[in-house]
Amino acid sequence: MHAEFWLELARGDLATWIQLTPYVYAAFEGIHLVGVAFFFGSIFLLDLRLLGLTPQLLAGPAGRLLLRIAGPAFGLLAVSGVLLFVPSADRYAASPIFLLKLGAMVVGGLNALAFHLVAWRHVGVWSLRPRSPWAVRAAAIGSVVVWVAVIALGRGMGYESRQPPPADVDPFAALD
Amino acid sequence: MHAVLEAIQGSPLAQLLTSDRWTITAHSKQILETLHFIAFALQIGAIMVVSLRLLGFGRGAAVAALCRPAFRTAWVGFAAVLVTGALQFAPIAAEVFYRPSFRAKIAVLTIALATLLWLHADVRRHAGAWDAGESISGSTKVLAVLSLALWPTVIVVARLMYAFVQMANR
Repeated sequence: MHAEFWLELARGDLATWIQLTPYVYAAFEGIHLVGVAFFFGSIFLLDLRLLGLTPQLLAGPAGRLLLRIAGPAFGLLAVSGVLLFVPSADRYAASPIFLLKLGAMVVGGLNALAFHLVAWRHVGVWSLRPRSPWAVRAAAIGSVVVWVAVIALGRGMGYESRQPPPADVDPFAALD
Repeated sequence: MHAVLEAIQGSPLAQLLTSDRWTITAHSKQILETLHFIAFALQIGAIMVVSLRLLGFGRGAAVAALCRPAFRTAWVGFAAVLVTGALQFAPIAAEVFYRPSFRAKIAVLTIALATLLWLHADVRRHAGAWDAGESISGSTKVLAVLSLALWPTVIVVARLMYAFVQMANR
C-alpha cells in the first residue's frame, strides 16, 4: 500500500493521542498482553485436549468454553493491536518482522478454519476414541507452534530500530 | 540488602547475560522477554479459564477434568515465569529493586499469587462435589472474580514498570 497513507496515519490525531505519554502506549501494550494471555492460554488448553493429553475432558463442551474465551480475546488483540500499530504505521508497514507476524497469523487462522470445517463437526465421534486422529493432532501441534511464533515475532517488533518518544514530554517521570 | 543486590548484579551469570560474546547472550534480553511472555500467557490464560468456568461459563465442561490440566499449565508456566524473570532481574538487580514501579509489580503479584493458592486449594477440595451437582459457593466465586481482576492487573502494572525503567535508563 502507499507509503504516504501509513505516514499520514502515523502522524494523525489518533497516533498523537496514543503517544501522549510513553505510559499511555505502554498501557495499551499491557492490554494487548492481557489479550495474549486469554487467547494463548485457552488455545493451549484446547490443543492439549486435541493431542489427547487430557482425555478426561469432554472435547465438545470444553472446546466450546475455550473457543468462547479465545474468540473475544482475539477481538481485544485486534483492537489493541491496531492502536499499537497506528503510531508507527509507516515503520511497521515496511517491517519484515511485522509482515512475518501477519503471515503467521494467517497460517494460524487457516489452520483453525481447516480444523473447524473438517474435524470439529465430528468431535462427538473422534473424541471418544483413546487416540485423536492424526489430522487433529497435527492441527494442535501446528496451532501451538504458530501462536508461539506470533508471540515471538510480536516481541521482536519491539526490537526493531525505533525512535523513542522524547524524554521531555514525560509528565509522570516524577512518579518513579 | 544492597550488598546482596550488588553481588547478584556482579555475579558471573549476570555478567554473561549482558555480554555480547555470543549471539545468544547478546540477545539474551529479547530471548528472556519472549520466553517470559509465552510463560505468563500460558500461566495467566489457564487461570482465566478456571476463573470463568467457576463463574458459570461453559457449564458442560466438568470442573475437575478442566481444572486439573489448567492448574498444571498454570504452575509450570509460573515456574518458567520465575526463572525467566529472575534472569532478567539479575543484571539490573541493584537499580530496579529500589524503583516504586518494581515494588508495585511485586506487591500485585504477591496478592494475585495468594489468591491463586487459595483458589487452587478450594477447587481441589470441592471440584468433585461441584461436578456431582452441588452449586459453587459465593466465596469461591469471589476468589474467581479476584483472580480475574488481579492477574490482568499484574500484566499491565508489569508493562508500565518496564516503561518506567526504560525511561529512567535513557
